Amino acid sequence: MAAPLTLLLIVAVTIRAVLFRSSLADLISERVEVVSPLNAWKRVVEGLALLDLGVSPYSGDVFHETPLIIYLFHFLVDYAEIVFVVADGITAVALYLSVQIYNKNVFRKQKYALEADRYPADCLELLRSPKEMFYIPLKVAMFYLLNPFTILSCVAKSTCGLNNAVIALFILCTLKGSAMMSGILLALATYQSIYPLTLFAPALLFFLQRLYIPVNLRRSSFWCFVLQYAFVYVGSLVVITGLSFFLLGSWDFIPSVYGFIFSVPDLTPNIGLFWYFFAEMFEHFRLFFICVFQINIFFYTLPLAIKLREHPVFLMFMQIAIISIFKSYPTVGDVALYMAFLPAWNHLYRFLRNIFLVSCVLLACSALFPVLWHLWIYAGSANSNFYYAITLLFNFGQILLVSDYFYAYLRREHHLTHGLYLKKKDGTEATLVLK
Amino acid sequence: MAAHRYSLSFLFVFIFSNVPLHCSCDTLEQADSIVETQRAPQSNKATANRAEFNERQWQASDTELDKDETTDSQSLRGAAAPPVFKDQLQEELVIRPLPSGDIYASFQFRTLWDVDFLQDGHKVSHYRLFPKSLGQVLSKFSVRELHISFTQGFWRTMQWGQPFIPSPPGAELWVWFHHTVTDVDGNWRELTNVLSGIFCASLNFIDLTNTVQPSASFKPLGLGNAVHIRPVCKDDQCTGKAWELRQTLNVVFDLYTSGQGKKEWSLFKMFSRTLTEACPLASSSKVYGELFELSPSTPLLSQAVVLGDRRTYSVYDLSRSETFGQLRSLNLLLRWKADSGMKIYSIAVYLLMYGLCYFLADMLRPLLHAERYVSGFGLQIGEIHTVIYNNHPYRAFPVLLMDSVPWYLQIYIHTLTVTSKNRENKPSEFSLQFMIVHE
Repeated sequence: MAAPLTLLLIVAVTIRAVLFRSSLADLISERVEVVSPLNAWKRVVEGLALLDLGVSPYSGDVFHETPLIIYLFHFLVDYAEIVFVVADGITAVALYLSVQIYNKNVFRKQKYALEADRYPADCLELLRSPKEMFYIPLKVAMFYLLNPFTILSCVAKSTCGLNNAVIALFILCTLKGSAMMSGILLALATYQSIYPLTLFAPALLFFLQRLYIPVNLRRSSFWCFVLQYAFVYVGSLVVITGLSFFLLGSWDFIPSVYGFIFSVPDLTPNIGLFWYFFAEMFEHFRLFFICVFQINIFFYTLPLAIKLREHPVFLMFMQIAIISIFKSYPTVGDVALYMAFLPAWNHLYRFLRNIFLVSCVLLACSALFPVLWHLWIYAGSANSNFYYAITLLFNFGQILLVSDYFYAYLRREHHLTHGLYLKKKDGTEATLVLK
Repeated sequence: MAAHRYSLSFLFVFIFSNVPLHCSCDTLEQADSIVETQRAPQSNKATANRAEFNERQWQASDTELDKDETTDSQSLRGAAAPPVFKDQLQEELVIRPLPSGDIYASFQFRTLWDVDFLQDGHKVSHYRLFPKSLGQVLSKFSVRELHISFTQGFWRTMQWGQPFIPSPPGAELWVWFHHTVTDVDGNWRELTNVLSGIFCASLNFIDLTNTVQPSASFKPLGLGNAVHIRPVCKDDQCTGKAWELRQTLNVVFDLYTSGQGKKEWSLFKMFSRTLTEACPLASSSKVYGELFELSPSTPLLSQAVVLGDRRTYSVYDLSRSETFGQLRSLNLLLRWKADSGMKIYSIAVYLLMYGLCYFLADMLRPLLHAERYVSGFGLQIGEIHTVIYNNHPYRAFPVLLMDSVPWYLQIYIHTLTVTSKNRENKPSEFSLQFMIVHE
């Protein structure tokens, strides 16, 4: 499988290189769907220029990336394009390997369950075979690299690509079973933008499952492991934050990065839900709504973790999707990350109910975003309501996609335990509903 | 204004400035002596030349003070001993035809008031000529110097030369506080709110987000602190402090020419009225017209040094009743004489005057002036270009540009490019100061 992967990487790099050299690169760097105030490349250059002038890069409310990024690009600013292409490549390879490992795990579990005769007789067609799973990792890598969202994000040199790389490496280390590396990479991802904090739960569940530690709050082995993992995670986070402090010599970055993410002062339109709400809202209620919106992201972790405690990888996918949809400054690069996982759930296709609607909505919205932006900002004949309508529709499409996959996954699991043809008590056919 | 053939005002400028002086000296013009300071050269406040000029003036006219005042009051009020008022008002109007054919009319009302707020326990309750609203503002906020200007329109420096006091479009407020003020920001905020109430202008929107405290440019006009320039009098001759309130109105009229190249204007055509009397409260009231081909003619002429070259003005003293003539009204006008029998002569005169105007235009062209424009389209991205012109034939000048940008206009420092003569240039010094960020 190395050869097709290499070919894929070459094709992806070629596409990106061609786009970098064309005139589209400048145009794409300014699109608000692709860059946000958090991860725009122009702002990174501005931060570097301010650092060269001797002023703190966080003054003037322009630069909102972490100090490690500034120091990375302090040395690599001339090779920025290569950095982002390499980041995309790393993400793709990490996803490829992760899904490969995941498939092996899935297949192994399935084999044991079959031998233990745990599946009802009629659901054998739901079982997966190595043959059908053979090309899934390649498809995952392809879905990531050749996704137009990813290409746009890379050509715009949005630091979202670097965040995606860190999260992909975290997933790889988790699936490989290395708790130490997983903790460190999760700390790095959390340091970049706070939301990967919620990925702590699926990673923990995965390790517990892997080490055969039952999730029992009264057992000491459970707490032992939780504390170890938490220690690695929190410790690395503290070390990385302290390192940033020593790099720049001040704590300026905490209100500029984390304060900015949480309090959403910049209401530049993007594909997220925050900007319009907070533009229309009275100052009096702002704090309340900020709390509501931010809690929304962290809130789904616990119920989902309870429901999906046997399936931590799917939980990870759900969590990444929820972060991408509900974060304060989403961009299409975040969307591309969870979409890359969709080939891994190919077998759920028969249970998906809304896939046609979702794909039409997402395609139409992606096409309408630039149109309505132009009408609003340049032609002056539309206003923010038009653009926000498309934003709402886009997020609606994403939520429908995620919930559809959730439903399909759960339904398959139900069928695997209760049989494919479900009957109600009186013998008529039953349908499963997600409540 | 149907009677008008002229369309009004490219430029409409109010300028108020308070300048405390060390001495209670006065600036009376004499018919053949140097004219006073408001038409002093150099719009840049921070030059030593102006200081010397001021100094010379004050000293020259110092001795004339008492004599003239007594003469005036005697002629107006008769033999009784007049009450000595601490304040006096002088009004002037300068009319200058600009090289592009427009007329620049500049009104100036100066009130000199001999009082000192900043002494402890010295409360002022009687206001005669000096406006009470401004006086109370000055004493409450410990203001040392204040300039406020409201401008509508755009001054075309290249065509019109330098204005007497340059000011940008919109409203501009410069304040120097006394050194006893500890909380400058709080004082500034209250002062802008009070001034916006007095002038019915939205000055209270000048808050900390578009205020700057310049560190390198712009020093006060009046009293100097020890480091910088321009005390107006020598210490031992000054008896105390005085306030000078200078209110200026500058208007540029667009002449509607009849197409024959005749440039004809008169006070009646510009303002739809003539002058019938001087202000009774004013101690001096004069009209200065720049060209001496004016009618009615006047024996009084005065000269002044404006922008480095000497100009001659015809002076009409409105406090003398013979200025108004038999009709009891004064209407300044300029009329070209073009008789049919003397066509050649008139064409020659016309060409001569045209050449003179051209020559004047050269003389009036300012040495340094700046322009700014915005480029780009749409609401998302744009560029600001500031162009500075140096018209000196051989000399190069170092330029200090101070720019204040509000928080909602996000400019990127790394996109700053300086080009001179189509070549890339770098500023020798670049200082960046971030003021308060909006909440």
